[in-house]
Amino acid sequence: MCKTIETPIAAGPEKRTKLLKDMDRRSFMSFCSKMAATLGLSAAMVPKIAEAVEGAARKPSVIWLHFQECTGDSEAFIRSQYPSAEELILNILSVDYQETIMAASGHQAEAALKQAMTENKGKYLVVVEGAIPTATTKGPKAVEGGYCIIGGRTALEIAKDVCKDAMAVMTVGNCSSFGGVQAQAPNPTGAVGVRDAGVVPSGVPIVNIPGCPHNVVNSVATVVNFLLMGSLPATDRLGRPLFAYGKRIHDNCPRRAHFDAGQFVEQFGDDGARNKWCLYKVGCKGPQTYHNCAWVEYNQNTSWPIKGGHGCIGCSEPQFWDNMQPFYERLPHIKLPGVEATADQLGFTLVGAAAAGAAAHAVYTFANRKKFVDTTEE
Amino acid sequence: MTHTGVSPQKKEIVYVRNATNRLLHWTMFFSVMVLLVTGYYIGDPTLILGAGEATDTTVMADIRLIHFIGAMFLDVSILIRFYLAFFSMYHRDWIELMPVPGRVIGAMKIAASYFTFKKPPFYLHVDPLDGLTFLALHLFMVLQLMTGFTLYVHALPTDWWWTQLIHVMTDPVTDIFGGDQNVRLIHHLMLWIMISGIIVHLYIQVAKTIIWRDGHIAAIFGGYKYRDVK
Repeated sequence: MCKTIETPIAAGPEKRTKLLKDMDRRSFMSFCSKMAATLGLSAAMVPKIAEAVEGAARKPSVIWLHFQECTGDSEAFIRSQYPSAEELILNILSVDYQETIMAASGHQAEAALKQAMTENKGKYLVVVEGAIPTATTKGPKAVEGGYCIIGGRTALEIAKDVCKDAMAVMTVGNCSSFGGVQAQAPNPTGAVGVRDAGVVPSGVPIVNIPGCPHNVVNSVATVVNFLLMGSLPATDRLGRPLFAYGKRIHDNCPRRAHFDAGQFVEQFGDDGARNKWCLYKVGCKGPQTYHNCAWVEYNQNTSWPIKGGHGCIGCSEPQFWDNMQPFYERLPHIKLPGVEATADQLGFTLVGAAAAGAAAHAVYTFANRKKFVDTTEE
Repeated sequence: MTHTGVSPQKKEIVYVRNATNRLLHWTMFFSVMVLLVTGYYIGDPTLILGAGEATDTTVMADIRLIHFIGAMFLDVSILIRFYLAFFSMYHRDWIELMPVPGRVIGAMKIAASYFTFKKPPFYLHVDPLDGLTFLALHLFMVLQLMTGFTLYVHALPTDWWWTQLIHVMTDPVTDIFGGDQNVRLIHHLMLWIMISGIIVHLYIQVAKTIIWRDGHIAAIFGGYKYRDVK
């Protein structure tokens, strides 16, 4: 993952362009401190981050692709405040192609994509939002991956074409990382995440920023890490950066003390809920979910699910729509033919059957106690 | 040993279980009991020590700690038991748990004897029916151990070498069961399967001791049981 690439920081002070002219020093330094905190770096690194971001000789060109998605990650992206969306789009990054916010459309948009790809060949960052369908469409015109076609090309073709000359690929949101909701059973379109679609050549590093939506702080921190170190951050086995996905929600949860004290919300609206007790029993998936929501929070540190009194649904984990169900209970229901039982119902039945069997045999044995033959059979 | 209505049978005492064997059995017994109780609480926790300040009580944390300590005792005794089953100097009994054809037929004969009350042949160590139930119980325990570690590993610091080592075993478990939520379900179902298994195991041992008067329960406490003298 840690592929070293020539960094903009190497450009030298004389070549620096003042990119952040619209941002005052205070908010810029606050942004740099926040990035250092998110990346788990010491305060001593803040000047270096400032240097790396400010001194970028060329803003990294970003091509943002949309596939099977709900644009929620773009929504999260344009609501970023530190740095603000316009600073991100115009000053820190050079977002050359983003279907949702770009002015161009149709052929002009296609031309912008072509231009960005040829001008920055091998140096642009691809951000992918949305899963890639791989199933072949049914009917007379069978097209491989034909469930998502933009400008006459399938998502598979576009992703292959754009990713092959990329410097790095960043997948934002659960859909592009792991497939998201459209990859859940029965997955009619054969949707997969970018990493599993086989569209990124082996030489191009890829980093997953899952979440539903992704947290812009983590995405920007990944870019800053790249500007600072010249490599993508260290990742876990699912390709998620460890600075953001190295600990569970549960490990830093503000309600953790209530978990350890055995104080649980039994149902929404009860006294426990009013006292902000632990949401474990109403289905919180924090104990299995690796994400840094607890200390980064969403929407400019406004809130996040557990702060708002709702359990975590595990949106940064693979296949969470299938695997984390039911969202409001601890254990999944067991599908038996014709019925749906809880694990405890099945358990009581099992234990009951064992006890009943033993009791029945005990009665039978007692009734036949005269028949005991206390000698080995001849 | 006399028995009402039946002519007394002359018995001799035989030593069948050494101290290590008995110690391991009771270590497993106590850890499983602790694990069942604490495990049920962890799966369905309730308020025990009041609704005061969270800083005053650590019920869930303590019960989880006891659960983890119990699990470590069980895991280590299972590993020692597995080793001894193959390399013990006293009695290598792994073959007694294998469903080889001869022992499966023997198990069916013993099962039939619980209904006909005709005394089956004497087995010095584990009889075939017990062997098969122990095989099932041991497989369940190994599954419980693996799913338990899969849930436990998340609580450890991610960059510790020990965590990485456990992940080598637990990552395939997560993948096989399709996510940690299913791993938790299996781990919870195993609670009930273990309880049912223990009921069956306990009943068979008690029934055997009462019907055949061979001191089968005494053997797990003192190491000796009775054999008929021809």
